[in-house]
Amino acid sequence: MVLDELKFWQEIRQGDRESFSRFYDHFAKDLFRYGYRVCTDKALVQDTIQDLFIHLWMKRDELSEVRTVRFYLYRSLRNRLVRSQDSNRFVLSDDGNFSEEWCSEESDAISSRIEMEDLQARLDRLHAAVDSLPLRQQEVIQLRYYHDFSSREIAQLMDMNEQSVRNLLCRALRQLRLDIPLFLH
Amino acid sequence: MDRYETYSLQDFLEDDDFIRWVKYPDPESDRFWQTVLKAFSHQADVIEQARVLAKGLTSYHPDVAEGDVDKVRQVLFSSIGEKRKTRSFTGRLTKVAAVVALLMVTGWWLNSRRQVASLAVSGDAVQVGLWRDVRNDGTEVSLVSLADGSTVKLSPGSQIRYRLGEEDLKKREISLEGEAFFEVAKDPRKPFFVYANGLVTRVIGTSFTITAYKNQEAVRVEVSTGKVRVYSDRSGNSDAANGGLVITPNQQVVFQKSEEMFKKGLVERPRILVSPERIKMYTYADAPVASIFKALEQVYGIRIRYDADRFRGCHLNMELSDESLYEKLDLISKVLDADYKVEGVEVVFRGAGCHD
Repeated sequence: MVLDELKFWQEIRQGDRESFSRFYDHFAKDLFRYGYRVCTDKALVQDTIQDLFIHLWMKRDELSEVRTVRFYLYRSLRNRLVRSQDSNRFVLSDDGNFSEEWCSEESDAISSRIEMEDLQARLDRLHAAVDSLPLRQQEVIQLRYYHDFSSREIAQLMDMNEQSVRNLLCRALRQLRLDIPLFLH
Repeated sequence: MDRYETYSLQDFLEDDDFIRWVKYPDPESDRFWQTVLKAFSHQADVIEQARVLAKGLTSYHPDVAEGDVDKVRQVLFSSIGEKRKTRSFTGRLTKVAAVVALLMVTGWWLNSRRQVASLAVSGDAVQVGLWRDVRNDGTEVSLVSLADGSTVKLSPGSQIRYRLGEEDLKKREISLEGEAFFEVAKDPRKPFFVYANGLVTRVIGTSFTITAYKNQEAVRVEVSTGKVRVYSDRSGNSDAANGGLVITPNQQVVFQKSEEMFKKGLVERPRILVSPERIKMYTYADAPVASIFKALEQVYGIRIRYDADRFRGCHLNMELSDESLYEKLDLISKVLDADYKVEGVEVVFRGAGCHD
């Protein structure tokens, strides 16, 4: 997958609109998913993604080799949304202040097995539980498990240090296990 | 692999290799994790719990409508358009260059010939998504007609970015940098917001001028007709309907961004607010000053304060159709041997009054 992405990028740099079109299709939906996670104003996210791709196309000659195109896209999207004064989601975002706080080890309480629920119902319950976490924890969870970013990449994306990202993630996961012990089995 | 012997549930959930296996299992990783399970059978429960939880989290994301992606796709690809159409705009804002081609085709935004000359040729109007941008790089004020019937007279060196509530948005929005005179078409279902350097102006249908140059700390809003409400963008939109400061014709507000301070006052040259036909009826011969003050209040939309008892005996001749408000006030104060002062949006008369 990463190879394809770099290949897209090479072709786009040579002005290939077809490639740019495939490039958009490849990334757009996930960028929307990320944008909608971090900013409640959907119209703003749409405008921003559009601006981002227009910018990429116009600047394709000047942009140096982007080592990981994907990271570049997410980072640009996030920066643009943060800069936009309308995106108050970030302003209201909590938890960031406590991300230095160490997330200590705990012994694992193994949940007792219960009847298997319908899979979709269990997923819905889990996702609802994530939705009730602090915003930055939601963001970290989605970046880590859905968008496949490493803790280090997430740290760069969110302007935090790596340990803070791990702490956020750790606290999020612990809270989830408290909220929905029955999810497991 | 040995590390997995003592891994906690949390450790597994944070382990890159583990996540990759849960999310993208293949024969190789399946084999590997089978080996782990065999070697550390005491970890079986923990691994299974971690697997189920991680698996559930891999599908955690907000819903995105297919239409949203398509809509942006369409605008994007029509705006990056034909190569030859974007060629001449090198060196300008890339966004601007990108979308000019689209604009030239649709031509929704202009009806004045002068604008066509000054804006379209220099490539200063663009459409990005629902937002449209118009810049005036010329030397004259240019008239921009918006699709909702509103008009904007954009001063040189100024630019606006707007969307008019398409796509079910419940408001019309313009952000302004520089100076513009707005005549807003009435649409109570879609209030009209102007964002200018930290100041939000909310109107339904009215006309007013906003001056908000980037390098100036103060934003000025002057109202010509109707009523507008202004507030700081830091106060948020929640109280838009009730909060903020209401300003009426011939009033202005100056907003100091750094101090979040509003100063309300009269515009420099208050205009006559009644029709030319009606103003001719405001002619007074030997009339009590109270009725003249009252007329001035109506004609200019101002408030005049004075000591009614003291000025009760004062009478004068006056025509309201000529001269400016201040010339009239000067005249009155001379005749009555009184002083006046503008305090905020009020005119205050002080004097001994008349005793005849």
